Amino acid sequence: MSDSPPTLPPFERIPDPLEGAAPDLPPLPPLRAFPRSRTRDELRRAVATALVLGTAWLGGQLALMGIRGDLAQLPRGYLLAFGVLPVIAGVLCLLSAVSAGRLGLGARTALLAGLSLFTPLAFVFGAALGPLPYAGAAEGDFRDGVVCFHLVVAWTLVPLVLAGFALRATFVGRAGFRAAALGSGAGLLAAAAITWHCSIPGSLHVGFGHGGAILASVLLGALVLARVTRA
Amino acid sequence: MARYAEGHDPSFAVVYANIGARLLRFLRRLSGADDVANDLLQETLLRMHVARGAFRPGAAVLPWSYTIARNVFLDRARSKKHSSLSLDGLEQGGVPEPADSARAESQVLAKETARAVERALSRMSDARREAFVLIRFEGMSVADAAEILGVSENAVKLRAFQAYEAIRAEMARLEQVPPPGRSR
Repeated sequence: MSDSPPTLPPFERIPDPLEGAAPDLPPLPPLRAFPRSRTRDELRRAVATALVLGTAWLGGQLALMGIRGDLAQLPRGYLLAFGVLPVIAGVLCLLSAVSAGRLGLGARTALLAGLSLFTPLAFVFGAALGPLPYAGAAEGDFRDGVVCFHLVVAWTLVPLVLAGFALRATFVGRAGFRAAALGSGAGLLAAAAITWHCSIPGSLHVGFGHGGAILASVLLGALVLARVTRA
Repeated sequence: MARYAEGHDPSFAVVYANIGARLLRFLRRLSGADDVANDLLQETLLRMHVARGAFRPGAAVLPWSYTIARNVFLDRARSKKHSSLSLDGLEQGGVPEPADSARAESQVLAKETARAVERALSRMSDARREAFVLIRFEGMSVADAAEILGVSENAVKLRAFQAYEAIRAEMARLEQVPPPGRSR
């Protein structure tokens, strides 16, 4: 059974029930009756402010908590995979979330969904299935994983709240996917930050303690932030 | 709209003059009732106002405003869970009273056909109705309708096709019923 018809049938055969009916257009309510809204420049400034504050928050947390002690022992590939690439992926997620797309309704659903799901899952499975970065590295136990999970989620909350405040009621189309991409972006940036702090490079610890928090952030975006940002 | 998004408030009246009637008709088609459509229009205008800063310069206003109108409609449908749509609006619609007996029959037939279309639209799912209304009545391309609905073009085609089939079936049933006055 085919999923879609090859061509559309002659829709013009269907008469328009409202043809010839002149709609009784009500008068435009006075704008003073509406709540104050932000102009394009004000919205841009709000987004830029949120981005600066969110980055400062993550950087400040990292500065406060300190850089990991085993940095010299870590291979460059490990730092690239879990400390740098997530930053790039996170920025891509954020850009796709705020992108206007062809009609100003947001980027394509497939792109948003792909970035929101693929990048966190790549982090989780890349870490969980990868080897220990160096001999004798700490693997961490379940409690360590829970601590890091909570830490990364806490780190993502501030950027998510800032994003919600800056972008409230502005996502005209695909609000769920765009908010999920925001969650993914914030989660990836926070996970990259914790890579530079947490000195436990165990596969399961990084995969589920750090990566699981990214997935939690995606869910927070899709389920909570979407309600705030939808126009 | 671009000027309005930049903060020029009086431009909203121009936007409203250009798209208000089409928005109202779109909402009327989705909701099936004039009074509901009027309420939804007010909410749509409010949300357009709040979201104006997010309007992309150079973008078409109609798809943007249709998407907001659809959000408003879906929110209302979810909150009220109103699945049964009223046909009251059709009684106020554009089919005029017959001027003479020669035209009366064709006008009655047109009215019955219009009612059959509305009936079929009211019985189908929101997803099918939206796709069909956007393409057939609002003149949107499949690509633009897909953007507005946030689904693939194939999905839009399939939904519109299924809506078309449902309406054709309703119209076929109508053709089997003899017109008033000829039942005996």
